[in-house]
Amino acid sequence: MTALQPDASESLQSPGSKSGIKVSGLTKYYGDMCVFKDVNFEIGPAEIVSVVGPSGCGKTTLLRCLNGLIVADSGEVVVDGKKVDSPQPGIAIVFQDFGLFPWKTALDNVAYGLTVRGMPRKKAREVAKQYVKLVALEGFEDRYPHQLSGGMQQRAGLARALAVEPTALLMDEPFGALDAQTRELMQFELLQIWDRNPASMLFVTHGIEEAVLMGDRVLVLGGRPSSVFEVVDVPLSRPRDAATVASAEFQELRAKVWDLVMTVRRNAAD
Amino acid sequence: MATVTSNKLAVQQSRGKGIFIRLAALFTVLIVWEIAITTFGRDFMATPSGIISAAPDVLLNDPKLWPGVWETFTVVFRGMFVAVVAGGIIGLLMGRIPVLADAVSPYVNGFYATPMIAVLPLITLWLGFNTSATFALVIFAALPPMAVAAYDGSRAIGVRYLEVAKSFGARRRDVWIGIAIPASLPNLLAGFRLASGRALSAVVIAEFLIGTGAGLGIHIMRLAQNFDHNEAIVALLILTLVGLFLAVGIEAIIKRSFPWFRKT
Repeated sequence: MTALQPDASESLQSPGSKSGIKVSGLTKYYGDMCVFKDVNFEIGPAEIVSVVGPSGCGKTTLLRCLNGLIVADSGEVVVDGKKVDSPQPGIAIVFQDFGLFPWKTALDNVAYGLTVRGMPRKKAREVAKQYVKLVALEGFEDRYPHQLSGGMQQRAGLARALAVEPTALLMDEPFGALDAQTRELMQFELLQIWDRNPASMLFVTHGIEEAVLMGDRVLVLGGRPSSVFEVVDVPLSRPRDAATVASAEFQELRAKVWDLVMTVRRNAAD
Repeated sequence: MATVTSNKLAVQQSRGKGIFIRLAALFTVLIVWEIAITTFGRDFMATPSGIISAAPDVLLNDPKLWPGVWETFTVVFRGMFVAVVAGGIIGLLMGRIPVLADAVSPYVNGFYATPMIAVLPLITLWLGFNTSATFALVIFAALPPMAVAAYDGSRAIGVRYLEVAKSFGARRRDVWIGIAIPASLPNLLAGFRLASGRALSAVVIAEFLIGTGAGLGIHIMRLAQNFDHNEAIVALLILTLVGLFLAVGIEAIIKRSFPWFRKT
């Protein structure tokens, strides 16, 4: 058990564990409809994989399978060397609509995962305070979600996920409900936080630019039923920031992913 | 900041205006009532001035009033306690366990639909002509609306909350206490309002029909039958005030203590 410190030096993984996410042959049906079929990919420890694809291609369902909220019909998900068939302590989700409890203060929302796992409330609050600081939400600990802006709510959502020290973070279009400026700001802040606390991350998004900015690789989902249509490597150096977005290399990759998504959409329309 | 203050000011102003309108309406009614009775009514009929002059005497010197209040509201609050706790639990369970809802909802709805006055003869036969029967009728009246409201509330719990809980590995107990209850609090409160109104009706009906007790309801009836109408209305107002407190006061207290309440 590592100390509960979100500080720079300390990684969120316990050293030597077989961390990372491995997805093989994953298939999911809703009734007769096949959402996705034979999805394979791997996310290494301290690696971010973005997932893009047209609406309804099963991005969100895939993410829920990775955490065990939904059980796939065949194939398997292995996280940290353990097969996932129910929600795991090492995996945390950040939801698009934040999923904060309106009856809890920001601090208690951040502490939620810890208290649910049996940490005494007082201790959990202390730990939560560090994560509140990490996401720059200091001074708003006692506010209720409805008293926070969308960006602040998602900071709390992110802090709640980070507070349980996950080895795998699942981001379900985390900035999709935010306005454009806040979204951009949050992207860079997330990158900074991740640089200091690297974990395996699956980043589901609608934003192609966001996918390239975040990911070490971008998975383009598509087809009917959908599967991994193409994997684009993103060899941009880290840490990434606003200068990264301005680079010609970034724009080239963005255009490449854009073309792929458009191809998938054209195929679906035919 | 400026807009916040001006909004507050606007709220205060409209609140002040609201109180003025209410007072104006009250005085209009009282004046019309007073004139109508003194012009067309009979001597024993209650008038606002008669009620006001009778009030101190009834409140301070009537030997049967406060024991009656005590007897009646002891039964109401005991009955409400059982109805709210049991009804709330039954409703929440029904909402989370579909099999239970299928099995139990016909009875809850059936009891809800049955006129409470019709079951009183049976209850008195089983329990006797005493406050146990009154107590039972209060529960009969107040439990179904509480259960139905809790059922609606726990069915309406946002799936996102449950998903968040599950994703963090919440156990059953965490979901029940940490999510089901706060998420259905607005419905529970609505149920409480309905239940308290029915409980007050039930207690008065039971006292009237059982007829042997010393509760507030029977006291009002006796005052009215003695043509002490002003006094009867003073006693009646106590019932009204308690009813108002249960219906509106409790909600106001909860809204004040939980700032998130309207945002669920």
